[in-house]
Amino acid sequence: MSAPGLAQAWLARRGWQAFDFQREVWAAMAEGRSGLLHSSTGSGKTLAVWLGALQALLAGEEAGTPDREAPPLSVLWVTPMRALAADTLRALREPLAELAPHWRSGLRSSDTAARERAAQDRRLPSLLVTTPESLSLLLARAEAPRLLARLRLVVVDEWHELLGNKRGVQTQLALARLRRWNPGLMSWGLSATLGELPQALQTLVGLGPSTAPPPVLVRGASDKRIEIDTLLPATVERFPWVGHLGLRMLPQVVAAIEATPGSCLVFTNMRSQAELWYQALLEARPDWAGQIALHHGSLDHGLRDWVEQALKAGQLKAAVCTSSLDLGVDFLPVDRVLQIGSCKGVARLLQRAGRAGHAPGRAAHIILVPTHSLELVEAAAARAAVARGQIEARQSPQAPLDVLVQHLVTVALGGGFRPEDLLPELRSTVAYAALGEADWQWCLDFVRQGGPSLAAYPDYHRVQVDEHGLWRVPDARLARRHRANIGTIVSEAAMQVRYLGGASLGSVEEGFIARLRPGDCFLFGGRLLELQRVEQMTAYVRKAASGRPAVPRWMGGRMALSSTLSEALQQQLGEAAAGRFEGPEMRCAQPLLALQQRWSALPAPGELLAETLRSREGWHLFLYPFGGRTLHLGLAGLLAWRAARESPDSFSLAVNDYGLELLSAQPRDWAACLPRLLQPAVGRDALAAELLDSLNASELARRRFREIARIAGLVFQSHPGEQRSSRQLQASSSLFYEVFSQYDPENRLLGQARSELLREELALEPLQALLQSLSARRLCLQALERATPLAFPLMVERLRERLSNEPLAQRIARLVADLEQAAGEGGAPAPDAATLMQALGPQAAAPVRTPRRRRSAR
Amino acid sequence: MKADAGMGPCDLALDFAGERLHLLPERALWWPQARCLFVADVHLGKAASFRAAGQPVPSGTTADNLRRLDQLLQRLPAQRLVVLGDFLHARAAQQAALMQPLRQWRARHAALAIALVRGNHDEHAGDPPADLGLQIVDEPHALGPLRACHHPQLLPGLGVLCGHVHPAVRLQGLGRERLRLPCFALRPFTAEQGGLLLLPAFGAFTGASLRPLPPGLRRYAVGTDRVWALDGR
Repeated sequence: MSAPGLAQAWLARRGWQAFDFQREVWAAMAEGRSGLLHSSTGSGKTLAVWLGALQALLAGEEAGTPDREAPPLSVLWVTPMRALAADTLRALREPLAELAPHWRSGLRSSDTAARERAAQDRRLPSLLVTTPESLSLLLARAEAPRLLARLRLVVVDEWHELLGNKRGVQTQLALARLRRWNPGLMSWGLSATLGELPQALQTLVGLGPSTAPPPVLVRGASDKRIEIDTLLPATVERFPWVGHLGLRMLPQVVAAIEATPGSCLVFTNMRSQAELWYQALLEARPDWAGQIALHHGSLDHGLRDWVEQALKAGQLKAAVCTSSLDLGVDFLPVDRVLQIGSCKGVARLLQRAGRAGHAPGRAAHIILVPTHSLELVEAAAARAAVARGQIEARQSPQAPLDVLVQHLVTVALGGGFRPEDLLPELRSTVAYAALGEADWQWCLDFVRQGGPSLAAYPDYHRVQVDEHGLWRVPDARLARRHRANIGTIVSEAAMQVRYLGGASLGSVEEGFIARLRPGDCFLFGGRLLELQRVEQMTAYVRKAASGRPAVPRWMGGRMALSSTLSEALQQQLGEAAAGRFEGPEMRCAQPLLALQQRWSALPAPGELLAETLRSREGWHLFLYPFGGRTLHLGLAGLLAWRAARESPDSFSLAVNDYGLELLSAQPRDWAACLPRLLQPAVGRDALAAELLDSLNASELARRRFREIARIAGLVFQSHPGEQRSSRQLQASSSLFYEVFSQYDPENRLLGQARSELLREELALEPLQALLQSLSARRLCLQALERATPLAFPLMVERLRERLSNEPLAQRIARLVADLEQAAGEGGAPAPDAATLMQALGPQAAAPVRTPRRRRSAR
Repeated sequence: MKADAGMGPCDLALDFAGERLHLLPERALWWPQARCLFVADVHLGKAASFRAAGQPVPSGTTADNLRRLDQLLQRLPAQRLVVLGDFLHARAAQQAALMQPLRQWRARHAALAIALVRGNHDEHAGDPPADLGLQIVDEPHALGPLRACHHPQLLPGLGVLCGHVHPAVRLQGLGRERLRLPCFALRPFTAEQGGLLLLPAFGAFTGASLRPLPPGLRRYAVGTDRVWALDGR
């Protein structure tokens, strides 16, 4: 049989028919084109590209010749989550066994066993399934150009997951490198639920001169039917105004799971929330033990594997999960998806809905479970947005220097580079197309000598230039450390969680464990655990007696409501303000919205609602632009900065997706000054300058720097089981931030922290647009007697930013005075030696802890 | 010279194990009776050892540390300096780039007796070169009723001064304001159990601990140029 009919014939043997979009992909691949395939989850994207690839790559080979030798590495299949790699490989192997039995295939991720790695090091398989990080690691090998010389195709799976973030930038850089070595290289992206497709395609294939024919955009089968329902609370009057856990809805969720014939996926937005829901479901239905499971990214992958297998086998009634199950190639027998809390975006909603009925032609059913009253309105808005087909677009980050610094070291390791050759390659990516000469020079200086001036960083070298002008990393120790750091774009330093006996449970962020004392309890992997001691990046725990209070975790990392969903939400509220309540969610939320109207007002189109309140905490201003938390953060900082310039003050800022709060410790007449503070800036640059000023007075830039320091390799990532001496190289990123600010203020990574903030967190351009639109709205100012349904969630928000331009001594004096007022009589007695040792001594002092545990276990 | 000589207006004096001690806003402790100055956790050469290992940290922290010591020694009639451990950060600190300014600094204060109580970092870093003229001792180092240590501990009947912890305090107030400051922490002296005074880290590139201090300690925050008592008298 000749290669061209290969794909069709393979499908036919299974009694399947090729879809039109699959034929389109095959034709494009036969011509050597790159492309982007956009089709809904479970519609057969993987087969489309893989059969097309085999058909194109085997063309010209004599089929059926026995004993053909396995070709060298020809296809790289990049998947964003290593948890998916094994499933992907399994799916790809199926046609391979029949169509190209001589091909060898393998998987390479951080989970790959050492023995398998060693075998691959001797000879890479013809097909390699890998992650962006492991691909970078391949590029960091000295023999990379030779190993990857005969690569013909790179497939990037779930491109929408990577497109908008720095891992995607890492992927763009790797693709540019590979294209340099193989100008005819095909690259294909697979994507579901994405707006702005031409841009997504361009980002994948790059901008460089290519000898290959122009790339194509293939749209898959029409989206499958999606049914969206909302679980309604029994009485909205008793339903909370605020919260994110949603346990109030437990009975309804139990009933919904009960009523589902097959399996349910219960999606939560945070791992801590998943843990809580899993516990709550088990307590509500002890008879479901063994039939429900927990799945999130921190759990040991053996356990996650087990859950996935059990889901596939249809053995589970429900799995409580996070984004860890957003993606996947398998046809899970899932009948229904529940989403606890806001899904924050239309694309995510569709992606998650697609997990149910994950097979061509079946409808997807998703049930939204609101965690507070306003999410009822949001649910109505989400349904309306889906009906109108509004989906968020994602854009590549622009020229992040931290990723570039990391890449320069990677390339220096992978055979070395000459700057004049490398620059055009970098500029062929969408991310670095506009990389400026000054930034480029700075990055080169930075990896070579720490910065533009030699004196600032004595003894520091990472990359050195050899006698042929080639930039290389000569120090083997640095090379090892860099390889260990490549994965850090993904996550914060992780700490292993182990039983004292040695069994591993998974990993959590180091920052979380750092806040605990030995003896504290926390929920993990569906168990209540007590921290025993921390040693070398491992937290040793034991099972805790039930009934002990647990430390809540992971309050951070919240996503912003997408602007698409936010607009839909404002439309719904506008309808409500006009007295129209359509759909079950809006009818259910009606009493609450009426209360808001009675105590204050409902935000109407063309109006900007502002509320002021004096409470025990201080003077509050609430403002509701409905711009999503990202924009509100920038706006809140700006307003606080402008107010503080009128008279020095300290502010505490809270934002959510609906509005923002400015709280000041000193009296302030908001009604008088608000119109002034809301003036748009005279231009984009003036606004940028103002925002930067406000940043320097707040903690925002410092927080943003954390991620940048990690990626650029400033903060050394420690790994479980590593030698102790490396502990002496650890310092927190905030310490780095201070040292840089003080001794090297021109450092461009600091600059990047600020500009990333401006662009991504504070959203400069949209913010200016927002200010303009706000100034056109009529200000509706309400003095409150008590917090309204809209204000209350802001008032109790715990994640806060701070901004102050008061002299430090004055702030401390005020805080100390507050402290004295708050302190009552007495206080704790002076601690004895045992207590002191436990709190301050080396954590391994086991005998001291035993009595305390007994006492508290009662 | 009277006992309180050199005390600045913003220092904070307290009695500990029968001695009058001054908590200084420079993150150091002054014992006028013995003309003795204490600092803890200087971590000299930390930035340099980062750089040597390929971590870019700008230079300037060592110069800053030595300059602040100079200022203190100028202000106070000190005859003795006691370092409560972690003077050098790591073995990589034992190099010319650090040792040269350190020797120059030592030469400027040739008459000063300096004692270093070995801390956990000093164990790894090795003792500083002999020509620096430091008396190197193990904890507890006896100074009258006081004991200079690196690690926190209680010694019955004695007043322990120590470092190691890098203590910090978080202030909270009206308007949900929050501020983190380095601090001293005191477990008041009792004849039976002794007492403990924790010093903040002196070094410019050290950071402060995230671990909460045990309840019952009196905390003294260091902010701007003042020491602030937080837990009453």
